Amino acid sequence: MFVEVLPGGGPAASPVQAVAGRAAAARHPLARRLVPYLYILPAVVLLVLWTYWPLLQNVGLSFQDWNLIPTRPRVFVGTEKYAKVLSLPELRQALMNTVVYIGAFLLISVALPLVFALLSRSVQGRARTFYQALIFVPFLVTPVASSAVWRWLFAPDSGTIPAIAAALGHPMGDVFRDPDGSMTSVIVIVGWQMLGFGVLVIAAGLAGINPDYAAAAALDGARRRQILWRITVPLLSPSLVFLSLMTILLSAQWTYPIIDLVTQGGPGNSSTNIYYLLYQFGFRNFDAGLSAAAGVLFFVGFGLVALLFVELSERLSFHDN
Amino acid sequence: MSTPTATRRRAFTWAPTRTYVQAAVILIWCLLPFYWMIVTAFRDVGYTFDPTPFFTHVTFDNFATVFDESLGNHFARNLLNSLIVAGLTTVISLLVGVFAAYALARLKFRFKEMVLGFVLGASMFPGVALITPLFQLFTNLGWMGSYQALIIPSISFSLPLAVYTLTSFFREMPWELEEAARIDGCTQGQAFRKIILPLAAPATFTTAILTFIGAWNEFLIANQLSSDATKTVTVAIASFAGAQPHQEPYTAVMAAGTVVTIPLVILVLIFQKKIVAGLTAGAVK
Repeated sequence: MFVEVLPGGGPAASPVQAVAGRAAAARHPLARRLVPYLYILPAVVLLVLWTYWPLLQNVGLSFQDWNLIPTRPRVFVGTEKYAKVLSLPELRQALMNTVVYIGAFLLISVALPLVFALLSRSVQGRARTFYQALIFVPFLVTPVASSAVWRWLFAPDSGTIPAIAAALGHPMGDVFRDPDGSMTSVIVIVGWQMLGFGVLVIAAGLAGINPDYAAAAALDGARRRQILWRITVPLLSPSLVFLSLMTILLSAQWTYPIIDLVTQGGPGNSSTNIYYLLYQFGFRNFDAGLSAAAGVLFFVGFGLVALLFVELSERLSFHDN
Repeated sequence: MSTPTATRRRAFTWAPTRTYVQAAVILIWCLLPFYWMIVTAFRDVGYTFDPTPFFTHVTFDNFATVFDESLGNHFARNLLNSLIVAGLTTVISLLVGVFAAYALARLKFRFKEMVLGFVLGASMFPGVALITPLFQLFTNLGWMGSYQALIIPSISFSLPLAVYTLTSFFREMPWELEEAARIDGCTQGQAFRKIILPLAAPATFTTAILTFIGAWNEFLIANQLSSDATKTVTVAIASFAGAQPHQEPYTAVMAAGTVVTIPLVILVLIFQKKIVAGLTAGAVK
């Protein structure tokens, strides 16, 4: 993903600049070396103040017993909350569900869009612009509204989908109250929303691939399948990596409102995930320490997964430079 | 994509038909729930579950309900709140993000990998866990019920994604032009303003739209940290009061959903070409 484009790196190292950087050279060399840091400073300051500082406070909270009411005292309880989180019976289920959710979303927002984008590659011109804009529409529907649409579609007795199912001879109950169906329904709803984004990113990636490569390969006798797997997909790898990471990062934000408004994690935690469990710890049970401890564990675990992923993608990405 | 005709000959006659059938199936799947939302938004509340798949019992009552203050709905205010929160989140994230991404994609400095890890790491932390400490912090600062109590956490979430997206875009841009400008005597700052900013505009624009969509649709933070005065549309829809008590106000919720979604759809339809251009210029070369 983040592979240096030029072997010599940025302008700071380029010979061109050493000779011709008149204005820059006139200034103090230290000032020039500071420039990159000035560029990143605002972002770093914002993140330190509003993400990392609260994160640290969260670490503090995780060693305390507190019920979120400002006037109530906070009691230091050591690692008790961590022990409690790790021994929670819901944790295993929530973790497993999170893995299934992310796996399903990778399939829906990376693999499926790849197939769709390849299939619709020959839609060209105006039709293509229109098609891509329309496929993007579900991504724009606010999850709060889409959860209402899907609840309406799946409403037992009167909803459209149960009515069609009954007409076809497969009567169905309330999927959101069905332990075997609740998670699938959340996946369907979130997947519906995320699909368009994937198609758009991959279609743009396909449009950016130089057709000469495929043409050259075809002249050399390559079959379409070979061109697809040996040329198109490797050249698409930056898009695929970008989408995968976005999917993993966004899945939290996307599943939370749907789970909260459609299944509340139920029935019996069958559709909960780690984010929703955290929310329930903190706000439903009024146990800030427990929620904080879960958050810290989550950060460490997820951070490691993400680091691994970034590391992997650096190696797997193929760049057309 | 132009594939040489030699490889296409076999599929010549029926391939386009197949393509369009496939495209149509995908579109129906994507648009049908959206279409239902609009049909139901315009349908009389007494016919909420009428399965007729086209506009029947058309009424604007649901939209009136959405904006009806006597029912306790303050949707106009909610829309303004969302616009303020999502707008400022986008402007600040982009302003700060463009500089950081430029340095990360283009300049050489020590600890670059660390900074990148630091920025991306910020998005690994679940928003849910951030809310408790932020809640405390804002209470101490007397910020609860203010816009900054919503904008700041929203930036915490969108900034890492904006930096990541912009960095991916900037890595793939034709930077030779910058070097050419420097040879002609531009300073690094001038090269950035005069050459790089116009070049980076489509990618920046795309990131801005994605950031705006994310912030506009944000629910978790707003649900916990907003007050009656700063309530955003998503929170308002989730706790909507319909025209008839004791019944889930599906038609009003869908009317509200339509009001919230249509501006985004129009935005995307207008700028669709720019968005694709931005994506093509960037992550996805």
